[in-house]
Amino acid sequence: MDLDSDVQMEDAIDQQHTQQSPQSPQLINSASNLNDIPISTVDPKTQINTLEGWMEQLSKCQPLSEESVKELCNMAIEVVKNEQNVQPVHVPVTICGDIHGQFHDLMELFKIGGPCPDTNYLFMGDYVDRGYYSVETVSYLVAMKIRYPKRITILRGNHESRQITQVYGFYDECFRKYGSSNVWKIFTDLFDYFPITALVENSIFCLHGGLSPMIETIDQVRELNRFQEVPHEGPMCDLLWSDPDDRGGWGISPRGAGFTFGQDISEQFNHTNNLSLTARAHQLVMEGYSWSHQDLVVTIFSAPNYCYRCGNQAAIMEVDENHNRDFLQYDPSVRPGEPTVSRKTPDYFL
Amino acid sequence: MSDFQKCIFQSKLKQAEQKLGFNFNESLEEENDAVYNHDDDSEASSSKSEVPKAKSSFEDEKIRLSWGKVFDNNDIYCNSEGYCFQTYFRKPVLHNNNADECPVIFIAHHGAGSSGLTFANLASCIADKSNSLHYFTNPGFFTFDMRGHGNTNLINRNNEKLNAMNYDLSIDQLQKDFIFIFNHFVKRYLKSNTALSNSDSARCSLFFLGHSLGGAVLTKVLYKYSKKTEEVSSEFHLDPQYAKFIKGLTMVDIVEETAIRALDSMDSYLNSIPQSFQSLQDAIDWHVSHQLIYNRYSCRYSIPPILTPLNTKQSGYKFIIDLKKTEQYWHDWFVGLSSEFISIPSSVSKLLVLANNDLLDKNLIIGQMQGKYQLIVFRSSDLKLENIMSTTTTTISLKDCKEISHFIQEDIPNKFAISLLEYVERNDNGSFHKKESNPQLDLINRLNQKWNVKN
Repeated sequence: MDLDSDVQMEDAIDQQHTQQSPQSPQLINSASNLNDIPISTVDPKTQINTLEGWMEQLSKCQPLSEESVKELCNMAIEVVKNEQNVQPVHVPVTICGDIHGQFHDLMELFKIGGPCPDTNYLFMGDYVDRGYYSVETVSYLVAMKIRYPKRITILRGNHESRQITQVYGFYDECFRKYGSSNVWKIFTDLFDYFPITALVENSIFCLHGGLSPMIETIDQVRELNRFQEVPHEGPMCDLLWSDPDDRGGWGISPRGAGFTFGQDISEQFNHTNNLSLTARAHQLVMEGYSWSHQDLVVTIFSAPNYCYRCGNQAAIMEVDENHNRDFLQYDPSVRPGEPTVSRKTPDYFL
Repeated sequence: MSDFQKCIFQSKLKQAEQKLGFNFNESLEEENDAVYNHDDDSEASSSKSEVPKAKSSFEDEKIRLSWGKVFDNNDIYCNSEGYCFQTYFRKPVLHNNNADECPVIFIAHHGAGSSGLTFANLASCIADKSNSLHYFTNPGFFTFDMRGHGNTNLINRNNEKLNAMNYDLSIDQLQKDFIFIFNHFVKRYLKSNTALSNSDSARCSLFFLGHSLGGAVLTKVLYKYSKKTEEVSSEFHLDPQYAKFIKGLTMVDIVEETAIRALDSMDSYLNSIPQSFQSLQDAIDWHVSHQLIYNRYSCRYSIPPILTPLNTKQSGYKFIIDLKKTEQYWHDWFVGLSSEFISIPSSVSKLLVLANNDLLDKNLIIGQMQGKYQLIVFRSSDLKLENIMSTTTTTISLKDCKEISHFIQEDIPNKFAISLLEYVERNDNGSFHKKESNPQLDLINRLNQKWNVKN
């Protein structure tokens, strides 16, 4: 396979050698080590071929072998661990919300938004759980991340966690498809390295959930140690769990984790950090995107007909070189042979 | 755990049982008994009880766990038609004399075919855990036998007119019943508490907890209350003075779509249940072996009150209520439930607790994905791994069952109690918190104050 002129594989090799202690991600300057001499024993060309092979297999919605998943995730760790808590992203970029294992709809997303690496992508988490193809979905996105590390950014959502995936399907799916929980463990170990927020041209703050009462400045996000399971409370938990709300101020979130924040809070946060917008996912919105807090916050949800039965549209947000924003909405991809939603009926309802 | 794993596990268990010549369920029961340090509670079976007792053997009396082990009062509330309800109340315990301090009280509604004492073991565990986890107050717990069920059925059964009412389980009637009971309870308990009725600043936190059909009734009551569209009939109004203290609503193992679909198999289920049991032990064995409930200790509270002696000549027991006679009402029990649950305003914190799977219907999924309520799914597979729960300050050994049925409150009362306490702590803006303080609330209040936000 010919190497695309836009191929970003060099980045991956560079990044492997800009390794710094995961405990001090704020120290990493993405530009400083670009001239380091690669010492990798893996031939880049072989690596690219392997990756291309995986991506082709995955694009047919066929899961990788356990061995390959292990290799894939090891490579991915080398790439994402050096990314920052607040990963800088440049325009143009297309910003996407929850996917939740709806693999065919992810393919639809790439059709609508344009193939990667022609289009730059920023995904705001929740790749797994609920849909039937969490394994294929997250494998594909991770392979893409390794192949084009500068073209695609994948943030962590609240579902990229050990605890949540055990309840909402990813664990069971791994067990079903691989006969053990090994692949689940490999992926959830990888999730600990995912960056938790991104900043598009110092103007659009992107994250899965929302704001935290313990975070007033973006610099405070940079100081967090993100390399851990998503905690039950505290700033990292809030960034992945909070929701904007019509009520002002901070509120207890009905979800049982994170907080709700009002327009006053968004105004304060965007002002303090000189932001034009906070973009987030996490909540299902029927049109695929939804503005709140007088256009200070936008919610983007990219899983159409969520769970194969919610009837919602999905959307992605394009931000062009001039920072113009455009929303592309799409409906579920039509596909034959989709497993029908079969549900056990209890014997009684007493 | 996958079904496949379950199969393997169960077959291994059977093999092991055959080899060892005993039943693991039996040993579990002994384990539970040991934990609760259960001995014959003479007080419980004394005059304290007004519940008419069934004629039964000594063995049966030994198996039966009385309401009095958990609850302080078993008052009977009679409505204007003369129909009477059996209630059970465990009083809250306040740990200081602050007049403004207000208790947390759970108000629980059981489901069809069950009785108020399905919550007995849970109520006991809540008291237990709130002590060991150093909560400020020991929450109260109020519940009752709903129309046609348990002792409520028995106390109305001797009067022909009232007995006919035992079978009016229309969803409207069940809501009226609950509203009557709620209003009566708050008048009786809260209005007589001078500290609570005199002080303007006094706050009280009431948390509704409904299992199955009970969850549907509570949801519909709160939904109607929030809409305030109901015609003036006072039967349909929660006492507004106290309804404002309702802080939360928990539905236990009820999903509209699943429940309505399950109605199709109700007839065959009801036809398959035994007409009688030789003894209470037999009845408990039957429930456990049919995987209706796993926790034998909880069954000793919950099964005896749904049974009545066959007659004076014959020994043995039969179910008190014949649910087949209520078939005409079933469908309306659940229609609209999910959208109503979602629509209840956020001033009431909503929690949905499910057993073993997260099969939500469309409205519940949308609601969950919009962050409208909290969802907790307890799964049998998780329980096998952890029998110990650590909090920052305490390590608790959980002697719950390793399997969960529809009766979550009975099977894993310890784990459920801890989850409920955490949920209450999080959502109560009153006095319920651990002794130090409530860090989350403190933080919010501090920040909101700093930014001059009134919430």
